[in-house]
Amino acid sequence: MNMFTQAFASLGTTLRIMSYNKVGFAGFLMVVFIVLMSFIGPYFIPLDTVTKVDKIFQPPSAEHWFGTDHQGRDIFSQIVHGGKDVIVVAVIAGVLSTSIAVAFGTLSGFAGGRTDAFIMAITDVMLTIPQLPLLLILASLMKFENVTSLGVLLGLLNWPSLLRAVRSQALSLKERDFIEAARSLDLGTTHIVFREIVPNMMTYIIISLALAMTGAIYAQVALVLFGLVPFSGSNWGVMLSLAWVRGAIFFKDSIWYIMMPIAAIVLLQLSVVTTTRSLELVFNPRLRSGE
Amino acid sequence: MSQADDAFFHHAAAGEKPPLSLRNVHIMYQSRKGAVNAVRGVDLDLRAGESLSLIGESGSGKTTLGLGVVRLLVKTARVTQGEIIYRRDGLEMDVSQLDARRLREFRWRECSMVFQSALNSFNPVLRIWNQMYDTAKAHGWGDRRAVREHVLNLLRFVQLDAERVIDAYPHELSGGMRQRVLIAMSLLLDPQVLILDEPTTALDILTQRTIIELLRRLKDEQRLTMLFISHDLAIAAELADRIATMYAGKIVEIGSADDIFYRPRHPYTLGLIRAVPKVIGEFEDLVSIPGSPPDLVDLPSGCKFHPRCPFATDRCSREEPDLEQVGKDHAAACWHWQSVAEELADRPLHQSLPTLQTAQSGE
Amino acid sequence: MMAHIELQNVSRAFGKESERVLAVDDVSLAIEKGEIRCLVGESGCGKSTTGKMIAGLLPPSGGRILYEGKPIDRLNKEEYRAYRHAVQIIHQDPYASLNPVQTVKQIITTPLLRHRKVNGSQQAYRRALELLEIVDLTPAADFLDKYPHQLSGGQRQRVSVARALTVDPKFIVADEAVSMVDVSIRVSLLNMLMRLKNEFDVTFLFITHDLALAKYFAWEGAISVMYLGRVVEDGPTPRVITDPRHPYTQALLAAVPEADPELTHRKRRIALRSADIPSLLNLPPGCTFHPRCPYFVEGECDVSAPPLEPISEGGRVACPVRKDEHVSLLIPS
Repeated sequence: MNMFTQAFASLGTTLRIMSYNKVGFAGFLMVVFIVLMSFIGPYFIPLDTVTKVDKIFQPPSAEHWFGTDHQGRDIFSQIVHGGKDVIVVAVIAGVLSTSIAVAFGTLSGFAGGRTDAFIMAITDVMLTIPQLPLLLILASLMKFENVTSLGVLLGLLNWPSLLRAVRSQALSLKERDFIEAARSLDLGTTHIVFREIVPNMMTYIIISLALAMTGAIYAQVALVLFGLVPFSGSNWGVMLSLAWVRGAIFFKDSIWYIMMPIAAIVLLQLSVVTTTRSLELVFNPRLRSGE
Repeated sequence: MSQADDAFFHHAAAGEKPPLSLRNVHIMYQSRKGAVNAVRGVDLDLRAGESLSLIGESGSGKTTLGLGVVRLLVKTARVTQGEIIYRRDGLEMDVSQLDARRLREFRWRECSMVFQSALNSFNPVLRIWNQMYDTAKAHGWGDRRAVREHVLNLLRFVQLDAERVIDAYPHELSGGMRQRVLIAMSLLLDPQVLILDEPTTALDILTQRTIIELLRRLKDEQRLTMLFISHDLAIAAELADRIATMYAGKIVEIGSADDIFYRPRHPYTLGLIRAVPKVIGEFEDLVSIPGSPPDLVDLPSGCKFHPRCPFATDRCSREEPDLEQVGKDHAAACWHWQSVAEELADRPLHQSLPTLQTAQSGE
Repeated sequence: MMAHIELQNVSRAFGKESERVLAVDDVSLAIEKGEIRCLVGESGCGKSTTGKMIAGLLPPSGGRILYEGKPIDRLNKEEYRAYRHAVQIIHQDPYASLNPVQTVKQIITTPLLRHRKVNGSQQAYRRALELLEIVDLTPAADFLDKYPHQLSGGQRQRVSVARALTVDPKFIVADEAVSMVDVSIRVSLLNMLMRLKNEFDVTFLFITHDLALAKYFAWEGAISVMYLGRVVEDGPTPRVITDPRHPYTQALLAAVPEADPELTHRKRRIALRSADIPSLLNLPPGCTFHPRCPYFVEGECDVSAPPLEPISEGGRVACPVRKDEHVSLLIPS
């Protein structure tokens, strides 16, 4: 079998395994949907930028599925366009912080000695620095032109507590008999860390990844609400901020403007978290039944 | 032990009806793979004053049965059929039908249990006294002074330094001491029946010996009715009057200790005995039982032991045998028990003691 | 003749300065090539720690370990690697000794490929089948795609053995390797290990608390009895089992219940002076068994630790008071 057919075969198997958990699989499909909507949707659904004074704060209708905003613009199209930034930041931040935490946390826990002491010292220092104030200060000092840099920043700030947790998992796994057997068989530290220990922590890792992503989303929205991040254009966080500023919560009809971005964010968070249930089945064969 | 102490324990008079009778008990539980038939029709009488040992390996259903008697099964398990009849002073009741209040009275006062994972079942932040008193109170005895007096006596009975142990925390006691405390706790409300699940597993050899001696005293001096559940044949040899071997949820043989050890009639019993080595005496060849314990979700047809049985024939794969009489007060569930008897006539199981004696004296 | 593995005054301590515990205390023993040696004792006696030190998984705190005559801390890189491959360990717990997220195939082919015992994955697959057959897991192909949780305890132990065999070991440390397996399966596992020994001439160190198993497995070999970190008696198995000389060994043999009612009721019951087991943090002076020993001699046993001395019947005994006294383990009729 060549590389591609092999990849497709295991993709099929993976999806099949994920489908064993109905809730998780539903979450996964929702994530896929939201991603497709945010990245491909914009090509099909143009953003409504035309100000229509006669259509301010309209409730949902056949023409405007989610109603209109304070400038009479269609909310639905804004939602479709607004997910991209949020997702990009979440993914960059989540993957970056999880990777740092896993790589160094496992190494620290398994290697012990001076490596451990060194890594823990850095981690502890980072942990003592209050996150939100630091974020706010950095945000006001640096100019975030684009989402990528925000994602990287969040990723670089988020890993310490995760690293500690990963390290303690590694510490306990280190003592297990099968790890001692791997040492006895002289399989090498790198192999043991990445092929024996990490795969046994996958459930933990994917949940951490999900939480890192959701945390990044909230941080991002908070920064936008505080006005510290000069994002323009549509972005669920920006929508939320504008809606708030424009008093959208005060009127029955305008409430859609503030509720839709919130709903979108919450839906994304929820789907990411429930997907982990399906992913658990993939990484922990013991949880699978009926095989 | 004084006269007053005799009042603690229930004395079994000969000729009494059995305190515990199991009739056609079936226990099933749900696992991810499907319905597990852990116990498939067990009939058993636990006679007054006897100690009966239930022997089996993993998957035999022995622990499930023990838990079922005191209705401490996990939520996913149920007694689906049969009766668990408990008798005392002419009164009879079906344990499986008791409501919550009566069940609490039944447990500990009539029948108590010492579990396998007992060594870990202490609350680490409570002193022994508190755990004892809580137990007594939960089952209806709240008189602090009287309970304390009784607890001290029981701790002395199990040969512990009562004053020191009663106020100790579990982690301050060794494994053997904790096991003794659990045995004392099980005697707290003077039960008629005591069920012990693997009472000496996880204990060191010398500690195990002290527990065996304690249980022997309970048996000989107090004539307590006891049900031992174990995978260890040696414990049965030490303490049991009668032994029942279980396989795949059913009793496959039951008889006196002598019958089981010297005249087994079920191939599984025979296989077990031949697989267990002895320390004293000359070297003996051991024979293992081929294959593995059965998958309880997907049991073989006919006799569940037949895939591993050297005596198996066609009939064994089609029809499951019931227990039938093979001797006086000795029953086995095997179509070919007579072949087993013949096999033993040719190749008896145990060395005679006189030869061992000479070996031991170094001649 | 050069011993396969020799321990010279080996000790292993755990814990901080103030709370040092000597899990293994000044142990000297020699295991010959092709020998079956049993290390028996109750929990806390140091037998597992000794096994791990022999396998190179724990360094000794004192003394030295010789592999084929050379101290292991003086071996060069090549020799050290050869030693680590030559000595493999089989663990007790079948549920913890295999990586739960790997299939049997991955578990066995990983060391084969890593140490280039085979060329390529096809050969690795074939060799994995061979090894599974050696440990009686047949039909081998059926087992390769299984995860550990799909196997029984006995089957998992066999996979552990097959894994150990991937590096062609010459010395196997079996640390309570059959204790957590069903009784009816134990014998077949032991017989399989015995076959390995005979076919591949592997030296065995069989660590167990079960004296009856030790007797069965090592009848042609030797037993070393450990108590609180020290060896108290050793010798050829038949001698140690039928004619134990150290009071602790006698107490152990007497205390074991036998699967034979008549026999077990005729065993001598040796009453110990105290039921308390000393803590490793606070060992009694002199012979550590003296607070419990029925033959305790004041002024002698509580003063200095008795050395292991050879006896004419074979082996050594660490008890000057009783080493020449034979005790019958059965009550005379």
